[in-house]
Amino acid sequence: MITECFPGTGQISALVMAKCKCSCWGGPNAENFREGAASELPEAEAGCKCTCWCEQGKASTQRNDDTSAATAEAT
Amino acid sequence: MSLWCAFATERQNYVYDTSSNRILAVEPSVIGVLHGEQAHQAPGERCETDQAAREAVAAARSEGLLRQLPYQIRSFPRDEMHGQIAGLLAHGPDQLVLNVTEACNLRCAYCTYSGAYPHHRSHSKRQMPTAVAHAAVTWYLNHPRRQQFTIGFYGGEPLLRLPLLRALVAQARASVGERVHFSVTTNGTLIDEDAARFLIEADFGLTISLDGPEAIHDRYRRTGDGRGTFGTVWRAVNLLRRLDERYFRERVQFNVVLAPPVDLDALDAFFAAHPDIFRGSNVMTAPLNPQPSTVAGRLTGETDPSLAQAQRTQLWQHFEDDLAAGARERRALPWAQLSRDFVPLHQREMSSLPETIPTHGQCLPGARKCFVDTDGTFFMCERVAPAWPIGSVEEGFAVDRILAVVDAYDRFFAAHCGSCWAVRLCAKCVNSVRISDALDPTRRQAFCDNQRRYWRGLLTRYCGAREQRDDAFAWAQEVEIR
Repeated sequence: MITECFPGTGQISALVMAKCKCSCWGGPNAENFREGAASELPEAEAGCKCTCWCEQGKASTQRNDDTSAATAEAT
Repeated sequence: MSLWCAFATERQNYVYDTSSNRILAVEPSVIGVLHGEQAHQAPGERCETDQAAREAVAAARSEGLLRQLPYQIRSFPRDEMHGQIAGLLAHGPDQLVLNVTEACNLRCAYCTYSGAYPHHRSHSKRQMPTAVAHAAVTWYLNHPRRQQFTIGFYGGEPLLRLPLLRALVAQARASVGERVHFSVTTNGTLIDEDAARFLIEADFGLTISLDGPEAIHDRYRRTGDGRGTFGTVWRAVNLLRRLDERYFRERVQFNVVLAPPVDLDALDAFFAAHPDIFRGSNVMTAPLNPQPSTVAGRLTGETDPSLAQAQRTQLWQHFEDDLAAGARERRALPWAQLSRDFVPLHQREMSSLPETIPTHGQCLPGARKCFVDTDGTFFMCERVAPAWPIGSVEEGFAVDRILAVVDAYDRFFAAHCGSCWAVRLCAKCVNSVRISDALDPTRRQAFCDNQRRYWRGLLTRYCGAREQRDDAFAWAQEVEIR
């Protein structure tokens, strides 16, 4: 009666982790700013929270490493 | 409002579920249950909906789907802005855009700066002083943590200041070498061989305004004494192509303003007749500036609604034929107009949302772009100027003004987006809803209604195409969103 179909590829999450600039806080280095990737955060900083901005208004995300909850959409 | 959207193709009923970002194939009775809930019908009133549908909805909810409670919306939480601002100040903008002149050698009827837009400047001879331009570039290049720099030039017609552009390119190259890239938006009428060789040599990203074939382009894009400019622009296009085919293919794109009366058939035929010049990926179409104006009185006519509908249908047919054939960009205009938003839809992530979520589209002012007006004032982009200045060459970024803009944006959308099913799909910034420097509730309502209509249509076509061919959007996996 309810069936999932046509799932997304999830590439946007990978994009946000890999390509966007992220300002992260809440971890040991709360004022850190990552140009490139939230996923490059060292192990010790896992659990901090990042807001990431992608170029040209294409995507933005808010990510919490604890839950890997993220959202990113495009203009 | 709800956090789901029902839609149907010829074959199947669907629900797009915001909380999971999933597309669900459903029986019509499930949609009946959801609509009944939305209308706050008591269970006894839902006699048409069967028990199985209610149980299916309940089961979906137990798996986290079909959420009913609204989300909290916070895109720029104050307690998180400290880190973002620190990052902005350390890195500076992704792109510095210099408004090197307000002068223009054309007088296009629909131009934002034609005097028809009371909230924008009019053409003038005001120039950015050379010292201000160099100071702006110095300020930008002095952000030590930035690895790559992009400097753009805007106007007026920026190529009227070609000597200044040469000097600024030399300054930037001397300072950071190949780590700086350049771009320019031009009407294309001043690109002689000397200018072309300079643009190619510096590898400028070049956006040329070209509205279509001669009859359409020359309708509005004219010189001050009324002469059409298509021939001049077309010669420049072919000159660039002749001088450096690689450069032309990789660095030149076209901005096409769809000014009424719009004739999509004529545009489509023109672009299709020149496949060596136009591709879906190097043509951008744009409507007229929607800010309040008297521009309608300068146009030669209105778009015929029934003709426009027929032409849009034809454009969709071309696009969907390509999808069904597994082909890509066989015609430039359908792909330029229709393909873009399928990419994020196809690449969407399949995850649940936290309780507090941001909305999408609004930049941290200054982070992506810093538009520098002729007098050295900073704005978040050329579309927004002269509203909301965010600093100047002398003082750098004014943090309090940047925070005021994002606070206003958050307040403006907070009450509306948390219960809207399109919150993960639509994107908007202050420019989408502003009149001058005020965020306008009427524009917001129109924008939101339009976005929901648009995304519902896109979801319908997406599912329809994948019903016919599951890999219809395989091409979208290869598109890199930057």
